[in-house]
Amino acid sequence: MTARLALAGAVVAAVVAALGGSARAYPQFVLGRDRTCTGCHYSPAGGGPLTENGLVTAGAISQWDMAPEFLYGAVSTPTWLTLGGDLRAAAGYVQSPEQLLAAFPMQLEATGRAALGSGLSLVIDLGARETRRGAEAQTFAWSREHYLTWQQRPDEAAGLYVRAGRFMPVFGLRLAEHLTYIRRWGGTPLYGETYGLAVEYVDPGFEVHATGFIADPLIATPEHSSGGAALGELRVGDHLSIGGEAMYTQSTDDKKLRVGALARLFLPGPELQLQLEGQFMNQLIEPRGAPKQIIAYLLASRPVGKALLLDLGLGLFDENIQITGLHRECVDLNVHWFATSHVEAIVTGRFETLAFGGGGPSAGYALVQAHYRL
Amino acid sequence: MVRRMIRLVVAAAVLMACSQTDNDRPATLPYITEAILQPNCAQDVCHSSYTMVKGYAFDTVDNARRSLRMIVSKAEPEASLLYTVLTRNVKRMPYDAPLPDKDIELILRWLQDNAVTDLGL
Repeated sequence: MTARLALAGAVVAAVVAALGGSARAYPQFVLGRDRTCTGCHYSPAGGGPLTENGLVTAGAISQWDMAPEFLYGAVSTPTWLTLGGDLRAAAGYVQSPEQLLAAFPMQLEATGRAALGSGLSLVIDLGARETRRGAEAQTFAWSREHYLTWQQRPDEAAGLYVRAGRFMPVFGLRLAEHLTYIRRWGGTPLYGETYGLAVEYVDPGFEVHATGFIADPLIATPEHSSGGAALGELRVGDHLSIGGEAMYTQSTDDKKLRVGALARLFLPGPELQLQLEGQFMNQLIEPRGAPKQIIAYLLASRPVGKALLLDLGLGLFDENIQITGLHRECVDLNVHWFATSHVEAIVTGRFETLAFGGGGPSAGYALVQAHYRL
Repeated sequence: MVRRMIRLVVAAAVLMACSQTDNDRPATLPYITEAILQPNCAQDVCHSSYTMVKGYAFDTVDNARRSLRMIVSKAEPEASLLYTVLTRNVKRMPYDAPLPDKDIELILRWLQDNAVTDLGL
C-alpha cells in the first residue's frame, strides 16, 4: 500500500512538474484588440506587469468588472512602482498513456516594475519553483525574470527598447501556453529564460526584436545554449500580420539553426483570430548526426459573449523528417472564462497521436486551471 | 511568382518524402542524448541538471553519461531501467508525451551495441 502511494505520488509529482507554467497575457488579443503586446504590457515582448490600458482591458473582457488594479486598488503604490503577481493551479485527467487524476500548483509569483526615470525601468519577479533533490532549502524560490529596460519613448507604447538581464529570448508567436508545440519543441520551452541583451523596436505597423543570449551561468536552463534570435513582424492592413524568425544556438554538444515564418489574421465578421507559425530546425550533433525537424502550430481563437474565449489549436512536430514515423500531431481545445479582472478559469484539453496512431501510444489531458492575478 | 513558389515547396516536400529512410540514425550516446533525451526528458522541471528528478539529468552528454550508468544493465540491455521506463504501461516515461516507437527502437539498439562502450561500463 505504501509502495502504491509512493508510486502515485511520484507520478503526480512528475505531472506537476510537466504541466507547471507561468501566466502571460494572450497574443490572441493582438490585432483584435491591440496591435502590439505593448498595448497592454510594459515589456516590448509581452508578459509581465500590465500597463494602465492592460488593466482597463482586463476589466473590459471580464464577466464582472472589478477594480483591476493590484489587490483591487486596496494598496496604493507610488506612480513609479507597479506591482503584480500570479497564482495558478490545475486539476484534471491525464493520459500518458497511463490514466490518472492529478491536482497541482502551477505558478506562485510576485512581480515588481520600477520606473527609474530617463526611460529606464527595472522588472524583477520572485516566485516558487520546482526544487532540486537534496537542495530544497536553496532552490525553492528564484527570480525567473529580472531585467533593466531603456525605452526611447517612455510615455508611448512604441519606439526603441533595449533590455538587459534575464528574460525569454524573443521568438515566435509567444503564446502563453508552454505546451504548444512551437514553445515545447520550438526554442522557447518552459523556464527557457536566460541572460541576454535585446534590442527591440515596436511600432503599430511593424516590430523587430533581436536577442543575444548566453547559457545561464547560475541556473542550468533546458536548452543550455548560447546564441541569438531575431524576429520581425509586419502589419499588412488592419487585420493581417506576417513575420519571419531565425534562432541559432550552440552548446557544448550541438548546434541548432531554426528558421520560421508566422502570421496572424483577424477576421472582424466572425471575430476569429488565426495565428500560424512554422519552423524548420537543423541540428548538428557531434560527432555524427544532423536531424532536421519541422514544428508547426495553428491556433484559431474566438471570443464568445463578453467573457469567454475559445481556442482551437492544431500542432505538428516531426522530430526528424528524414525518418518515417517520427511525427506527432495534436488537437488542443481551450476555453477561457474571465470571471473578474483578477480571476480566470481555463478548461484545457489535448489529444495527441504519434504518426496518426501508428508510431506509439496516444496521449492527452483534460484540465481545469484557475488563475488569480494579484 | 506565387505558382512557382508553390511548385518549389511541393517539389521539396516530395523530395523529402522520397528520401525518408526507416531508422538509420546513429546509435551513439551524443545522438541519443541530444536528439531524444534532452528534448523529451530534460525539461527544466524534470531531468535537467538543475532539478535532477530522481537524481538523473539528461540535458548534456556528460550528465546523461553519469545518469545512464545508474540505469543501464551491462549484462541484460533489454532489462535496463532505461528501457523499462520507456515501454511499460504504468508510470511510463516521458509522462507528458510518450516517445515514438522508433526512438525506443534506437535506444534499444544503442543499449545492445554501444552503451557499454559509451558509458565505460
